[in-house]
Amino acid sequence: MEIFVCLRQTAILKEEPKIQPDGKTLDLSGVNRHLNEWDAYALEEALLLAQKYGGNVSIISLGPQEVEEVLFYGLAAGAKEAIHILTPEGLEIDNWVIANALAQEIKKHPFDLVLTGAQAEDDGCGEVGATLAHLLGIPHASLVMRVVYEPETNSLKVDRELEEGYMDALRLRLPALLTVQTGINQPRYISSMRLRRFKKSATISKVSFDDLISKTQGFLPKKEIVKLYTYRPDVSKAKILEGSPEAVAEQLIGQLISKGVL
Amino acid sequence: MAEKILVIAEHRGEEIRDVTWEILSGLDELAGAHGMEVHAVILGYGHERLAQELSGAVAKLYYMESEGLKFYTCERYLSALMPLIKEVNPKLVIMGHTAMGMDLAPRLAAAMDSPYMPDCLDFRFDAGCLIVTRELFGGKLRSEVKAVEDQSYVLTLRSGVFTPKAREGEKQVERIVPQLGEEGFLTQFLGLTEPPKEGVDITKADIIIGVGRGIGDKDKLQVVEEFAEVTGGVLAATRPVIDKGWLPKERQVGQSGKIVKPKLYVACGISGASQHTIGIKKSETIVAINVDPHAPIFNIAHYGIVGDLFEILPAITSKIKSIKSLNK
Amino acid sequence: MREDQFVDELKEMIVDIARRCRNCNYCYSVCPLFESTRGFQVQGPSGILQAIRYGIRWGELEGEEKEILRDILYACTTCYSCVLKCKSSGPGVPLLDGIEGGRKLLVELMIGPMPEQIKVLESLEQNGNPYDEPPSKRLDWLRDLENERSLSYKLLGKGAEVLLYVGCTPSYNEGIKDVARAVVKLLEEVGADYGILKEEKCCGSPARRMGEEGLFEDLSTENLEAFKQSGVRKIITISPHCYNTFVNEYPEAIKGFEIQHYTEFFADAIERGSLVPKLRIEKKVTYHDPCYLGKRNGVYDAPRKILMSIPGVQLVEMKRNRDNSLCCGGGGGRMWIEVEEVKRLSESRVEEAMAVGAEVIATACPWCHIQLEDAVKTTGNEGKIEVKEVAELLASSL
Repeated sequence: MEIFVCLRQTAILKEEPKIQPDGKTLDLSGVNRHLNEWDAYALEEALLLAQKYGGNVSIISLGPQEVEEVLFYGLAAGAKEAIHILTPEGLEIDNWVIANALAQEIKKHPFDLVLTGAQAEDDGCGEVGATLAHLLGIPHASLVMRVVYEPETNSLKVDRELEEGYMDALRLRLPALLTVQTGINQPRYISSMRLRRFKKSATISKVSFDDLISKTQGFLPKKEIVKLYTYRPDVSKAKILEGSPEAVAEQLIGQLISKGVL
Repeated sequence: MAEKILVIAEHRGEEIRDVTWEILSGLDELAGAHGMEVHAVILGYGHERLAQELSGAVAKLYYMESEGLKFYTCERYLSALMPLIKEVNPKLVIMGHTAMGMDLAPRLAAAMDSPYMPDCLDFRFDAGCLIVTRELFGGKLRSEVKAVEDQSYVLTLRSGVFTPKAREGEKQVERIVPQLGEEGFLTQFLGLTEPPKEGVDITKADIIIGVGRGIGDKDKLQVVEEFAEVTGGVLAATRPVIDKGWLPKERQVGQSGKIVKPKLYVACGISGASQHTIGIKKSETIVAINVDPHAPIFNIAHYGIVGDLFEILPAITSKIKSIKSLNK
Repeated sequence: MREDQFVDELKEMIVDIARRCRNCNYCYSVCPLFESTRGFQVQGPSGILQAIRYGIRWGELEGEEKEILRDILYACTTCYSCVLKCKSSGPGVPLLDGIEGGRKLLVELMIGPMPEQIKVLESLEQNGNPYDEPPSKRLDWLRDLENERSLSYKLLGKGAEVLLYVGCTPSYNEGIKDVARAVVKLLEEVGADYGILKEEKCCGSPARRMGEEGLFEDLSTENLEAFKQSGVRKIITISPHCYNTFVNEYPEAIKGFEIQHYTEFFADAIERGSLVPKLRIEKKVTYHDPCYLGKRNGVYDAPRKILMSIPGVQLVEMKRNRDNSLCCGGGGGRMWIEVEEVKRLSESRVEEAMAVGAEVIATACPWCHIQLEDAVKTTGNEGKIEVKEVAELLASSL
């Protein structure tokens, strides 16, 4: 099975997020980045499937130079090939553009399966996977929690996670695309030393974003962020109780009793 | 002629899902403000009764019936919907940001070549362009996102944002039988699994004590268990705690777990990511205990305590115990 | 170094060490893991070592058994009892080098560490602490103290004589922040010319214990550079784990500094007369020797000297003390994983303390402190015995 995994690098917002003076972009200076959590599960699933059924895993990512980090990470984890769609500085993109660029590149290669994470930590849209499937003209299933390959029919049987503990099962003919939910497996840990070695010796194929789009009519973003803000608790709503644990306990119990809850 | 909004309804287990009623309630005001007409479509097989139920809430209800639509698959629903959308030509197609919404809506948007706005908290039109409010980074930030000017938009609305209103009345339902030959479909629905029947049904409890990652370790649950015992509450947990196996799956509260509406929900060491808060928003009273004063949980709590749950909970537990012994 | 070469050398090192074991089984008599679990052969030092040795020999590193091997290797608390016992009664096999080497190997081969430890390592790398806390909050404990009283520390690098290396647990853990504050109060009392790093990072010991050698190298290099820049002569630590890694595992250049655990520093101060405990603490106190302070580094007397200098304190010894001390179960990365125990180590320890009639268990390690405090609760002994840090006892006696 030839498997493609789309990787996204996301920022890790540990401290208070800083918004630029324009009021609509994030100041990400000094902010660490890492592989999107859902994509780590997708990568692991691809590696497990390739191990179990034979085949190779290729990884692909779109973005500026820094994005190489996640590609080296994927290579260290066991991917055979890595493709970096290098975007020029200051390029305005959205998930529609990302999906189109990925589709343009992936189309050039033979593949059986494409995996993506179910959503991204940063925008939480869950958009690229299904859009990419449409552009590649292949069936897709999202929120996948289990994948089994059926060689007789060249299909995948997948279990999908629905709400409230419900699951459904689907069979898809290959080639297909799956978006993967967290908890489907346990992603392997890549040590610093291992990563360092791969950064020194591994190679990543570079593709220019401008080259890709010049081959079509070009794709433009369909949406843009016009305002960014931090949302603080509505003080009138959450009554913050203060004091020592004993004092707080007394206040809370008093409130709950007077409300008839306790 | 008024522009139309097309709601894609969702049903499960012979009932319309809550999120559909929520969307319809939310649209009352929004559609009115922009002078838009609300239509809805429900797809299924043998679901006439549900179609009737919905019909009173909208200007027009389409019921698409075919055996292939009995259970949701993206391919068949898409195949059935595209001609209808072409005919109705809605300005806005809306559904819930549910497992089905996450699967169908982006694909539908791509097929329609329309902008896709997922998991929205609010939306409005500004000179013909759709502007939505949505969260980023799990709630740490909010954004307003503007779509390019287009003929149609596809939007999914977050569950629990609007409160469903009681609906009455029925109308004429337009029944459509799409021609869905099975040849040409590359996916096959194999079955729906219900969650296992279990001992404790947390959805029936009056008082629920929620445990999050802040508990730190399985063996630290004792302090919460004691609190639950003395208040008569049941334990529930967020996904990370369930994933670790500290509590069984039946106790999971949130987007991929259960939705609960108890009298009292006490969130202990829970940060308040949307995937969890969706499950508790309808609780009558929410108390949150977290060491982080900026934790998003305080956005939806009625009472907040900024502190260490290992200090706060025992204090409350012993206070309740002493009140109980006084009352004896 | 190419991957194969690195892995091959590691395998060779482990097998060489394992070969020296004579299977005399003496190490089992002192192993806390063996004592607290069901007593399988692979739950003791020699057994763990042979498991990784044969795992290498029989290619278990590729098969489905690799997770079993991983669980075996990561259950060890790295307390050092086996190393001491083998030195005194056996051929002196560096058992822990083999076990920790095995962890390094498993991490390299993407089999280790334990799943629960992955987030810990990621946090060490991104935040400089294992608790997924933002670096900006690392000095909050100090600012809280400053709100109460004025302090004379220097935020380095402005140059001071002594560096107080706080450590991650005292910086972020609510209960242990009090220990850090107690140590600062003591330093103020002594009138020490001390400083605290502005941007302190984890000493790296947890990374090494879990087999993440590369991360340990990064952290140790950064810290060493910060120490050099600070211009201090002496470094005192709160945690014995930081102490141990500085003294025994850091690059050569660390030898340019004098490293002390805070108990050594304040025992000296008491002897010199610059610290005089006055207020009486009328308690029966027993001292729990932290493995990383006692067994690993031979510091047994300094904490006891401090306790005996506090008027009113009656020092009693538990059945197992000094180099015979029972591990609390927190070391070796075990703070973050669950090992199935028949009898929890920390609970056994609390019972030992109760057995000698102690009212206070004094300890000198943040993790021992956390483990024993939990055990006091889970054994239902709250109110009968309490856990206090040596620094807290000393500070409250001033």
